[in-house]
Amino acid sequence: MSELRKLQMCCEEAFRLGDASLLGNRIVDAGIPATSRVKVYANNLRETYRKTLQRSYPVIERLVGDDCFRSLALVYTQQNPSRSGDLQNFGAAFGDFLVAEYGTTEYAYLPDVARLEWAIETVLLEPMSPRLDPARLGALAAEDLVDIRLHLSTGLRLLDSSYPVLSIWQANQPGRETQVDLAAGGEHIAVIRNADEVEIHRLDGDAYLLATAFAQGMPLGMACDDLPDGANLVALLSTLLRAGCLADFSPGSS
Amino acid sequence: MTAGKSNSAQPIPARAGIGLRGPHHAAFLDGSPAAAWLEAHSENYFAADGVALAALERIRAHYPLSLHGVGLSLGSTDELDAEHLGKLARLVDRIEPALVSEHLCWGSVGGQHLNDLLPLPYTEEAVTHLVSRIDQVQNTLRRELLIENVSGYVEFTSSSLREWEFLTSVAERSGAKILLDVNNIYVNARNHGFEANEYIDAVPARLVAEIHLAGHSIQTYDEHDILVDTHDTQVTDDVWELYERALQKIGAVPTLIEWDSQLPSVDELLAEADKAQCKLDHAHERAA
Repeated sequence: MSELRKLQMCCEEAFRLGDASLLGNRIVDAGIPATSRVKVYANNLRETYRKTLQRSYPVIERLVGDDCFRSLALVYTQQNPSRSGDLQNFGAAFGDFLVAEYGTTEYAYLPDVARLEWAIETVLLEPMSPRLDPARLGALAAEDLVDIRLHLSTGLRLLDSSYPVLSIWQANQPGRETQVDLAAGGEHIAVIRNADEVEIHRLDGDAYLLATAFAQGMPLGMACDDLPDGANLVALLSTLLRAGCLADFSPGSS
Repeated sequence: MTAGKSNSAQPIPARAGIGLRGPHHAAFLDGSPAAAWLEAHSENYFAADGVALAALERIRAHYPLSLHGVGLSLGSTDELDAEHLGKLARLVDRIEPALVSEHLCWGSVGGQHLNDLLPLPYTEEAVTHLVSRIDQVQNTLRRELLIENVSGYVEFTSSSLREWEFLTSVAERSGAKILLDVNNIYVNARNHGFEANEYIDAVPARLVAEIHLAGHSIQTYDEHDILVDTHDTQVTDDVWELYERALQKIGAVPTLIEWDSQLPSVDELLAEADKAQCKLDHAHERAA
């Protein structure tokens, strides 16, 4: 192993732990002891990862408070050390991490709030999908509709929560101070990119069910089989079209 | 290094530019702020279909642009991250920036990234390692790279070169140019007890293609004050003075105001760039 690699391996541990003793006599003093110098790096690391998570999860930070968020960021970083020079995906597992932290507590809604925030952040990295023109569906013969497969927009994120997660997110935007009744029931959400903006739509249960069936590649006829009796297919498709969830369709194979 | 393709249609002028940050994208889309040029962090535009890159392409039509990387980990002893380099190459091909720069540092080992600009020992071994890595990057990008000196809070007892000797040696042997960060020189001089002027005077003018200026802060650890390159405030008077010396030595070169945390308004950034521009104007007058 080269001297340079040995040094970098020692530094990695010393900087991460803020422990200068791991570097022995490798550090020049020049009036400031190594213990103090190494702490700068340890502090930089903590702050870099905290700020990265803070940019992705401002609502979680507001909900748990600054001190708690710092602690969460520290533990998350220990459990999910960075594997890339690009921090774009650093916070990807934060929702799952919060399940372990809060999943069985009265704050069990936090993971779903985090998943919504992650969807909002990452949908803007996705390509912009075309939006399906309803007239193209209208032009199909009724017997052909059954076998078509509807394609969801590339950047669409669908979330299903037992909590009023979008209401919580909305109530915690800057300048808002409204209360949310956690017993109000769950919400189904579609997050989608529209040009340079993020659109967030609350879907009813049937529209959500239909969209998830499309996501699994089911033909329209089969997707309808999963809907409850009395569901209005035209209204549900209309909802998904208006929300920009549908990009295209392919004809059935028969 | 293989023969490079020509730089973009808009070369970076020897004027004062500012760093382009996400919250300011909207302000620059129509080209109305009077910035001489802009510099963007490469990694922020790696998503090929994302909103940020689409904005950068529009902004690119109005301003000369430089791409500045923070995560390639040039000095790491791990293999160069092929995925990261590939994304950078695709971005460079698409944007055709006038300049591409990276930091003379390392940030990862054993696959663990610390996402910081970590210091290298100033040794012949490190020079040889960096020259090889920079050659790999320049060949992949098919263009010349600029390498930036970083702020450091430790120096290593194994160093056999002074920092400026190390920087110059890497640049000369790799064919890269130097992005001279004057604030980092000041920070290191204070933290490590050397004369900043000596550093400025020792760097060959012919190698310097760009200068960075930024604000730093003083942090106290165990009652010891350490200067930290925080990019969250205005350039200090001492750094302006050092910048003037650099211009006298090097001549007028493109100069960038970097500001990343506590991001001020575009107007405030432009006002800071104006200060640099005044000093650049004097340098131009001296050269005339």
